[in-house]
Amino acid sequence: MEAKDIISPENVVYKKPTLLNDTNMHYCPGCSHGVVHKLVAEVIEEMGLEEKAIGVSPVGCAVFAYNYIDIDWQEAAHGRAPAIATGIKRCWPDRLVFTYQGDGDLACIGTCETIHALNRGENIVIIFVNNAIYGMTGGQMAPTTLIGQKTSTCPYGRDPEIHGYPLKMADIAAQLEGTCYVTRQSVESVASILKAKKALKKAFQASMDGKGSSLVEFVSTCNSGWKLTPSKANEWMKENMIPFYPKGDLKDTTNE
Amino acid sequence: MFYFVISTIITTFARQKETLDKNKYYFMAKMKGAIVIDTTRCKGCVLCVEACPQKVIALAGKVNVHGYPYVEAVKQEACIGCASCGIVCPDGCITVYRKKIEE
Amino acid sequence: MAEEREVVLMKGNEAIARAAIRCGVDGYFGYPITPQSEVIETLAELKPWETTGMQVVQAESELASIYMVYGAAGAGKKAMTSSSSPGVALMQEGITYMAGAELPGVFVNVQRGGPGLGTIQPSQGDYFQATRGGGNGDYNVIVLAPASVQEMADFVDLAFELAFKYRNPAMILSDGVIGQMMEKVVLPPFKPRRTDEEVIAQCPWASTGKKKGQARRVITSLELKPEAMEARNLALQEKYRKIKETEVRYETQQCDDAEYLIVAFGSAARIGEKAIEIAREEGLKVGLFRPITLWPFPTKEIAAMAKGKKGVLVAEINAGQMVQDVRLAINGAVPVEQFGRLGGIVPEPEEIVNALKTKLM
Repeated sequence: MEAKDIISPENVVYKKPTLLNDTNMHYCPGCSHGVVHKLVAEVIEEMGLEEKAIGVSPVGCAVFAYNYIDIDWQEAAHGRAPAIATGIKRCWPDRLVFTYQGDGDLACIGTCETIHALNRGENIVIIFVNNAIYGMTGGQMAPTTLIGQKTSTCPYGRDPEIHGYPLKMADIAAQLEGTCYVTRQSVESVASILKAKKALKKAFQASMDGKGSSLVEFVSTCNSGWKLTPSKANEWMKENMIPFYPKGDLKDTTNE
Repeated sequence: MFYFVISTIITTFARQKETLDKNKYYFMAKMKGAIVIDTTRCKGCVLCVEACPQKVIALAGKVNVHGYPYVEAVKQEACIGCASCGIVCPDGCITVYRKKIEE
Repeated sequence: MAEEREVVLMKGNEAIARAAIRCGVDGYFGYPITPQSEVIETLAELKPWETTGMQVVQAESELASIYMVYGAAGAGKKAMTSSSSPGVALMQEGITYMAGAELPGVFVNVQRGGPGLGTIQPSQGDYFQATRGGGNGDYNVIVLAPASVQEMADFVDLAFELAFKYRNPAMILSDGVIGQMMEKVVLPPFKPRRTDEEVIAQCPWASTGKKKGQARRVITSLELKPEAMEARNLALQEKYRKIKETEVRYETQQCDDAEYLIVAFGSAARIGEKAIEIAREEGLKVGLFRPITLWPFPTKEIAAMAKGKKGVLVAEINAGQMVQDVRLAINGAVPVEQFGRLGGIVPEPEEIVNALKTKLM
């Protein structure tokens, strides 16, 4: 049997989700953002929520997320996405409202908005792409940068004496009464991607069921900022990021 | 005693035949896959190359219209349609097909 | 409702809250700050989420408040916030984002003395912040300046009407005097909130959930391509030109036979009313020109009214802000002087009359 006999519409087992449009994404080769975007598009499609989804995009590498996933979007100012999502969801309670944010957006300038939206139990999902660096602006230190990790603003390695300690936002979120689902996932392997997709689906469903707020953290790579190849970046992430930001569900009250 | 030996020999042969038959069944219902890569979306990150268990994909040695080196299926016949490549691709470049082969 | 068309006595801040419920506002998102906390307190007490479905959220900061307004307005809903000077300073980023994304949010500034944390006493020190655009870039917000509790009540609906007509943020620039004083007011009649279908029909540009076959809506102020950004800005400027042409509002008292004009807005205009009364009793022919829209400023109208007058005194509770716009309007034709008290001290009418006499006569 030849390839041309197999390549036929009824034999498709995997393809780019329709909700991810044909515009080439501007992310660096191998960037985790691409995979997370795919998952968001797949899950919205599979849940049949294309007409109800409203996303809030960040300031950061994903600032143009609204060019790739074919739903309605609002562009947030740096860090303010959870407040914007609150305004939308309060006035349109039957819509699927989610934010898509990086570590600078969510854990630095937007820490206040993140904690309060989660704590109020707004029925939104906060998607957190954590790659421990400020990618878009050229690789500066982030609040989630690891001790000893080198970036352009801590070229000798993050030193707690000067730079303080990395912030574990998912742990903080899990303490808040208003959250119903807090989880950490990653997207570097088939197994982790499939688990991550399940987690995202759970979070979206919980928000539509009015169970409260969810934080889905994707421990991710920034091969440009880390100055590694995509696959070496995945390795570095597994060896250094995952031990500090362990994967799994930190809180799940969605069945209660 | 003799009866026991004969029955053991017969049973062993029967089991072997069963196993052989099973193998015959396996060879008949194999999955074969094929992939189509959108080379204008590909950025040559080669995560698909590493994810593929069958070494189907490799860099093509050429660049696309955006200046990115892209990958191509170099051993399409080895593809089993597991979709690992499609799943890990950050740009959604790969469409994976799979067909059960009957003899 | 028993209070419909009834004359009631209430504070300016309370009037804002009650008017908001009555004119079908979908969401109020605010943070307490003196002298305007009564707005959110009144809303919290009246529980409109149980009657009209209007959402009331106490946000974690003014910063969060303005972005909640951004989100709701970006989804086509009538959303508002209120604050005082230091809080509005914090909101400037959200306001420029709303101007850039062309969103119809409404915000109220009940001014207090500044700069910085300042004082809780009233002032008019945010005129520049309001009319020059306190955030980055070339933009303007429509600015309405109430001078009575009645106008506080009336301007909520007017602000939303203008905001949606032009897809532009609109503000009500009040101050601690108007916010805190109690006056008789006739509250606007009840108007129900728009249904979801009405919102979608009225605001096809809003992010309400993309229907199949529709193009997606993106609410954004970002544009990286320089030519496209210039085109956007030119479109905004054209919009502002239209607003300047059609939406100027002002009031005059005894200006026609006047020899001197007092130009004042908000609570300074209320004091100015008394000042021209005192001046007339002394035989001085003084009139009052009260801009109601501070942006668009009644430039042509002031220039026309000032023609042939002997002098113009701009009375404002700041170090000299609106006087710049008055001078620009009059363009040297007539002497223009300014009188102001600072630090949150509200002047007496006699002070204005004396200033008129010493500076212009």
